Amino acid sequence: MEVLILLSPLIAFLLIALFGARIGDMASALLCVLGGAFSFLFSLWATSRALSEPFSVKLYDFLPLDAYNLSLGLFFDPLSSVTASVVTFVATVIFIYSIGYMHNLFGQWTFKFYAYLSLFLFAMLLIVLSDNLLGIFFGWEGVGLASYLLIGYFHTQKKASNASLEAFVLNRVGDWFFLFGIVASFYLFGSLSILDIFARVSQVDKALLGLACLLLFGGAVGKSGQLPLHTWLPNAMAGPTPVSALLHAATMVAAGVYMVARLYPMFESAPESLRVVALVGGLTALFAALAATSHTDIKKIIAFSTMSQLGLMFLALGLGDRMSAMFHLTTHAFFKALLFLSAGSVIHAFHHHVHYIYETGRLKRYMPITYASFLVGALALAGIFPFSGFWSKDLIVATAYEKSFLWGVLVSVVSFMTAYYIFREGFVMFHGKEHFRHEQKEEPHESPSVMVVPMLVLSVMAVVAGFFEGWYGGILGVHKELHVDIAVLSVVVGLAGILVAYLVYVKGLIDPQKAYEALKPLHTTLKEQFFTERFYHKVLAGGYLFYSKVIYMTAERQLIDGVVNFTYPAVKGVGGVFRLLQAGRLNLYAFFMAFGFLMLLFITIFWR
Amino acid sequence: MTTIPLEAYLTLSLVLFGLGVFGMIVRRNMVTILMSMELALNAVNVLFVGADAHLSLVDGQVFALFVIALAAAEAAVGLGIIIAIFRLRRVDSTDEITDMRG
Amino acid sequence: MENLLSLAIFLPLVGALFVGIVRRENFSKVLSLGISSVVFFIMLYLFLNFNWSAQGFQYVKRIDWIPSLGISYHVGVDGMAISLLLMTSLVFVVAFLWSLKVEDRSNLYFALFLALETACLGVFSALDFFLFYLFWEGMLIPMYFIIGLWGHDRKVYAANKFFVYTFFGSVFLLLGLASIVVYGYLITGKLSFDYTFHMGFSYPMMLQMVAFLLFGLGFAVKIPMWPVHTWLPDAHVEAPTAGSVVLAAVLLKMGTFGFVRYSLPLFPDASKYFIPLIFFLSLVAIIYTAMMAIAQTHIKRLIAYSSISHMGVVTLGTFAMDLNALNGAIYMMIAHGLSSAALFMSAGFIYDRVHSYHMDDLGGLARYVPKLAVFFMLSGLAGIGFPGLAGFVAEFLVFLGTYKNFPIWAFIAGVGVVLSAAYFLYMYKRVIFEEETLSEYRLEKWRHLKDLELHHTLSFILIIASAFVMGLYPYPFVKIIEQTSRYVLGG
Repeated sequence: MEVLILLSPLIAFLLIALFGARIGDMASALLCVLGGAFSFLFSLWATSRALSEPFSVKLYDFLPLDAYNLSLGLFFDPLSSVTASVVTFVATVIFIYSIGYMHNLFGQWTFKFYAYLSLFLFAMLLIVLSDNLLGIFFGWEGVGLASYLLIGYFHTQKKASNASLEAFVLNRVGDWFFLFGIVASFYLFGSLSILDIFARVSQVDKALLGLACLLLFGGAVGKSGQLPLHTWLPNAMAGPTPVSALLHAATMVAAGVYMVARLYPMFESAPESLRVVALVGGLTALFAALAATSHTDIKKIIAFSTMSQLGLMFLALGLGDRMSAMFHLTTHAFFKALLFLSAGSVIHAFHHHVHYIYETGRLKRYMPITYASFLVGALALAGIFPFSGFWSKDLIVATAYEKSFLWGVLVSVVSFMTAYYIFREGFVMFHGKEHFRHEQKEEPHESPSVMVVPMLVLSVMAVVAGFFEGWYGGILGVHKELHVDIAVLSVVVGLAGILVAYLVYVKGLIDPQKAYEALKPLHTTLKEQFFTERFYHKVLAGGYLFYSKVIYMTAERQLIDGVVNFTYPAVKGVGGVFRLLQAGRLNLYAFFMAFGFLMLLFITIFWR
Repeated sequence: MTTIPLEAYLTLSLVLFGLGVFGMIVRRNMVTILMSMELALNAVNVLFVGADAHLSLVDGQVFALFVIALAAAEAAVGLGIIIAIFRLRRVDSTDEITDMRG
Repeated sequence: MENLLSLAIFLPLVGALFVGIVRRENFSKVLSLGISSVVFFIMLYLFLNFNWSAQGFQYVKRIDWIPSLGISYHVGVDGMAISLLLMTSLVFVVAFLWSLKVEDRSNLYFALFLALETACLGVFSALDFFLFYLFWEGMLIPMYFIIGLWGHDRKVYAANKFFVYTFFGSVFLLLGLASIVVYGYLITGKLSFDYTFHMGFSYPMMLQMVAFLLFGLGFAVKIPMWPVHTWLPDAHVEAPTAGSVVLAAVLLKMGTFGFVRYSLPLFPDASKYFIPLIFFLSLVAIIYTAMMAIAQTHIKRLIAYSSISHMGVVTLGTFAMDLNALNGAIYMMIAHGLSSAALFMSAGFIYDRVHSYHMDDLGGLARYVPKLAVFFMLSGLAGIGFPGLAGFVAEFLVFLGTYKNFPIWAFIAGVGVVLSAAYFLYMYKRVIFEEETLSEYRLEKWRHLKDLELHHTLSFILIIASAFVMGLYPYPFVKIIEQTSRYVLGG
């Protein structure tokens, strides 16, 4: 029965993939939504069971590994089942939204899009629910593929196909580590089932365990777009907006954090690895927040914010606080999906021709609901009381200050910048001047209700999800106190960020263009993500390609194949020498015969 | 009755064979080469018969007879070929028939 | 049961004779397809009835052939052989199915392929050195003509290179075979070419090393291992589609099959001694040829290089001296047979429609031949080891097994996972996705492209479905393969 959680998106995928062309785009979209919805209902039901007692479901024997039999299965505990419910809920809402968003493309094989979405959800659920590392890896690669297909959905554009390629390859780098993490764990624990692993986690060698954890974390770095495998994440915005929402809220990037949380007993037993996790998370949080402050692409700003928030979650995990990381992941799923859907609504209003915040402006007049939704999402992201982001972020801030003052300051700085950049985007898009006037003929309009309703639903969730903090802590067996001082501090920090954005972009205290001009080197550095992207593209990828071609032209064609092809003239040359003996002269042949005979005679007589 | 020593046969045979081979190597006329070949074959015959006389056997003489028959057949075929070549090409020197050059 | 195997081996040859005698095009096509299907079902039957818990060879048939030299007609299969036979017979069915539209000298074409099938099946089932070598060399002749007569522009060059190069390797193989047969004769006074007779021996180290190198060179050329690999890209580039399919799917496996069947059990000590050499060559193959692949603009050349890269994984797993790794290596042979067949079919289809293999001439095909795009993607995913398809199980097992004794080697080899994704998707992007670089002239031409026909679709479905079955439920396959791995590793 629980298998249906997985099967319903899978069946939706197969049906759409096989018959999508015949049943049409609308029917495919509905199938996709149905698959998600059923999956959500089943996971609610499974959650209700799992909360009282964790249980596992065996699927089938997959692979014999010498003496050990690897079987695939699902494991339902509070963590996995609640995450599955959140994932399926957010995904279903996004699916509904995408009907409106993609409607103008119906009739152009848009059923593919829904097939990929269903596949995406299926793969993510596999990660969430699998009871062994290999099953997680199946889903891991599955979301990689689905994201590849979705990011490259507008594949005729060079930008999109490049971004999808980059996403898949960088993810594969992570998968490489992850795969060897699985292998290393197998030799440590003699099993790949996470239950077996948890049971034996205290008995194994700490150093080797740390290595295995780091390898696994390498996979999470790739999937969650952390440093140094981050460049694909902002570029992935080349895909349609519902994809970005799905990618950032429920499926792809959340997988990394979830995986570390899932295997947390392993990481906990190897504290060295947690230190790395914290470091990577903290650095990424700061790095992405800095990059977000100077970007102007509507979706990229939100993308960087995801990276930054994921960094915070990894930081929390690294500091030993699984519950707040997971809770932040959950609330983040709601408000980040909401932000993306609002951004998508804006893009949709301009018929997909607008990508930069300075091409819009003063939209609150035209799109009040979108404005409200964006505002809710932004407030939640900035961590303002009582929105959900406040509750979850507060936990992380508290943990950071508990561990060390330095981490705490880092988180506060990141929070300040978060509030600043998201409200910068909001103010420029919804307040300010109508920059679009001279470009666009029509006035922007509010989106159809098939898009608005999902936004409203998510807005509600973004507000109320925070109140479940106690409950969520309860099911994970952790109880946290609200630290009033820290709560006040983080709200003040958030408000300060908003205030700065307000003063600059609404009141016009400083002209941002002039400021950017004045700080051009800094601005460029931040915008170029400290030139990492350029470095990866030009030096690593370009260099790899260049040297491959050089080696192909030299070592392969000239050296190896040269030697091979040289055998032909070599044999011909040697033959040419012997050919002189074969002059076709009868007398000469007779002479050779006689000479050879004599030589044989001499040898037989004198060779003693 | 003095018997002819084996060495005499051997020497004669060797000289004749050497002449035959020498002829084959230095002469260009194909008929002459064929004749040199006959000479070499007859040198072998002399050896066979001489050895028989020395060992008082008859096997060698039988062999010699075979060789004579073979030489006759060979001469017939060889001359036929030479005439055919001559008719075709109007040459009789081996220098001018080098079609088998590699 | 025993005769069934021999029947399956020689049925195609008989078919080839009939094709040669009757010489009616349609008859040739139907007969070839029919015979290869029958062979496939026989192999399937034998595969399903294979007892994976029993030791030794099964379906064994032995008849004295040249008793004075100790040569016999001796065939039989173990777990590896039956799996490869099944894959081979499937690939031939697909090759015939794919070639249904061949017009040019089709009688000769089908006769050669049928003869080739006999030789390929024979190599995997022979248990006599002499018989093995006979099939091994016999396979060259039809392949030579297939490349040389139905190939593309530089077909004669490629065919000659293929023939001379592989023949060069085979000579060393023959020397190796002779050396151990002679040694067996010296020790026991019995001249025997029988494989099972030689399995019980333990040869002195010196002979092992020499024979290992001789065998190894013969196999390495066929696999092909770096640096004796350059014949493969040329042969693939020039070969007709079905020729490429068989070449990649079946012929390359003979080398690795030889390593597992002959080198490992006959020369266990030498195999251990040469591990660093083989590992080095494998790693170079994995990484270097992956780089070569991404540098290509010719689709088939790229796929050919990717084949070499994957065969590097096979040799790595073969010599890791671990059960899982060996299982994985053998699994990889079959998985790669399927994926490379499908990839070459995709490339061949593109050429049939567009008349170019060059990525610069291509692009944006996704919109015009969508079915092909789907199958091309699936083939590629099978190739790059995507979970759920056969290649992943193989790669996972190889890395798992190799990691046990050689963690660093295994980890470095793992970079192949990244590189293979890079070159395949980079190609896919340029051939199937990107449209901006396309000229108006081509776009206009693309609009009239015809998508996959029924026989194309069927061929793809056969291959891809098999890859999925092996990727999603590898349990029975691995069990059957393990029957071989256990005796090879002397467990």
